[in-house]
Amino acid sequence: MSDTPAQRIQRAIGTAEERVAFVDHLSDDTATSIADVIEARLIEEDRELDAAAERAAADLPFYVAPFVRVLLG
Amino acid sequence: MTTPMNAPLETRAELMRWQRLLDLSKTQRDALAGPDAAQLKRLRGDIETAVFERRRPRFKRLARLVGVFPAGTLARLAQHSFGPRLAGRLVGEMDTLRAVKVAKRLPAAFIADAAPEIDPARVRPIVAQLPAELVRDAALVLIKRDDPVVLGRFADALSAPAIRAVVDAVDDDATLLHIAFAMTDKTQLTRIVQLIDNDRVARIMRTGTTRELWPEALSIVDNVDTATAGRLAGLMAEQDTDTLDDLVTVADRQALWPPVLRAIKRMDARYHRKIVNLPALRDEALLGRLIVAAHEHGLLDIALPLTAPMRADAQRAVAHAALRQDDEIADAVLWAAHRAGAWREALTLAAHLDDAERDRLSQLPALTQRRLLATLLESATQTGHTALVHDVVDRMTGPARQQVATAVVARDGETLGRLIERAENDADWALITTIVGALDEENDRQTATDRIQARGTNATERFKDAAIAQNRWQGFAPLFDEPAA
Repeated sequence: MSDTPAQRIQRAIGTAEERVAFVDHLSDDTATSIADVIEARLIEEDRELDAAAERAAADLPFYVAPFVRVLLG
Repeated sequence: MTTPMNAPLETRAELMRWQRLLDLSKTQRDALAGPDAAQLKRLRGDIETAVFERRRPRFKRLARLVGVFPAGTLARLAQHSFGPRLAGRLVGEMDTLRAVKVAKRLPAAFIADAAPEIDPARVRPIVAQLPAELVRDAALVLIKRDDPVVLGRFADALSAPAIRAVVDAVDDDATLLHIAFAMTDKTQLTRIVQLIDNDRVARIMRTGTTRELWPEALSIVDNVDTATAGRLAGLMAEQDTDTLDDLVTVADRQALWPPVLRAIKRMDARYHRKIVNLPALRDEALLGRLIVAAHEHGLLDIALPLTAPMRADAQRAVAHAALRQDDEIADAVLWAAHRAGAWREALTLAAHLDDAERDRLSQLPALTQRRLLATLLESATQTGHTALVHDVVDRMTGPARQQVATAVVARDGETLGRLIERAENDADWALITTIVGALDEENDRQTATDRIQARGTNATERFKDAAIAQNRWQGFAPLFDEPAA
């Protein structure tokens, strides 16, 4: 059985069940779309941080870049 | 149905924060207007934590690594290599003094870019130490971008000079109201308002009495300490009748009665007469919605005493509106009178009820509760409403009337004693005879009639006259050692 929207959000952000329970009381479509938006926001955050780290490493002085790559990589 | 237009104020502010965080569609945002603000706030906080905690250990290590660079180098790296997102994450992991040194070397536009990427909880000491001019300039960039939510996340952490600098630089009062409304943590709002000079505060609150900004202005009044709220609400109450009438309509349409009632309670009582006698408050349907809202939010104790300075026609409208509600709400009004010591007001309202409404009132469950009846009867004797009480008691069912009579003779007949005194003064014994007639215990009846006889022949004769008029004397005569016929 697939997760409810509240369970998806709970898993995505690692919060307690009771804090997301109200989402399942919204209409199915809306609850699903809100879970989609939250998951997408976190994926986008990862992607943006990757891109920012890559840009930074490319741009940093040669003596710092390798450390940044390792640290953020 | 709850929508963003009629949701509680804190829910509306939360919806703005959700919108800023997740870029919701209108359908998604509207659907979130239903859950309460606390639920939304908790989950939004958890989502933000999940965002800001992403790769945090790595940022911590990176902050340690770059911590050895001079502040100027770090400022250059932040702008030209890290960019606002990485810089925003790093600053939360830096030592306060060092972060302030770096920030001082950054342009305001870059700080404005990085602000949405910073976890406010991690940078409060840093924000508090930033130069006022830098904060002002960064705030102006965010204002130009119409981003009150991001400004509202940091507003509570600003230093006094920074707050003054921002307020002085922003001529548009509506903008300041939007930022205050969006503030995530409003516990510092009192301090912020107190830092702004009185003339400017007055101007801001006057701006808040325009139709579109009424919720923002009310939200400020609702989130500052009692003294400040009283001052701000007074500034709003000084507006002309047309403006205030318009605000009543907006309050009704946008379900703003709870903050409005709290604001009225906090303002100086000299404004009450003006507010409660506004023409818009004669509409019985609107008053009905106000009563329902007051009941739902536990504010009837505040609302009921506000009827005291109302003119008679307005009181009549309130009385009719209250009796149009279901038993639960009409009952709750009576309990509010009991709790708030507002029987004088409740009885004054009841005096406006017509026959059918008095019939309905007499059947309400609250009027069978002895502790409520005790305070009601005490107040009725003090305020001269015994004839009204008699009229209502007379309409009650036998068992309900019996409860009233029992409440009267309870506590060694103290209430009965006062009712007898009142009957003597008013030369109206009808309530006493009804009550004695409703007592089902022989002992209670004897105690009651003994008390009447103890007042002297005149009292006994007047009671007898009233009992004869009510066709009750036959039942009472043996208690006075007189023949029944």
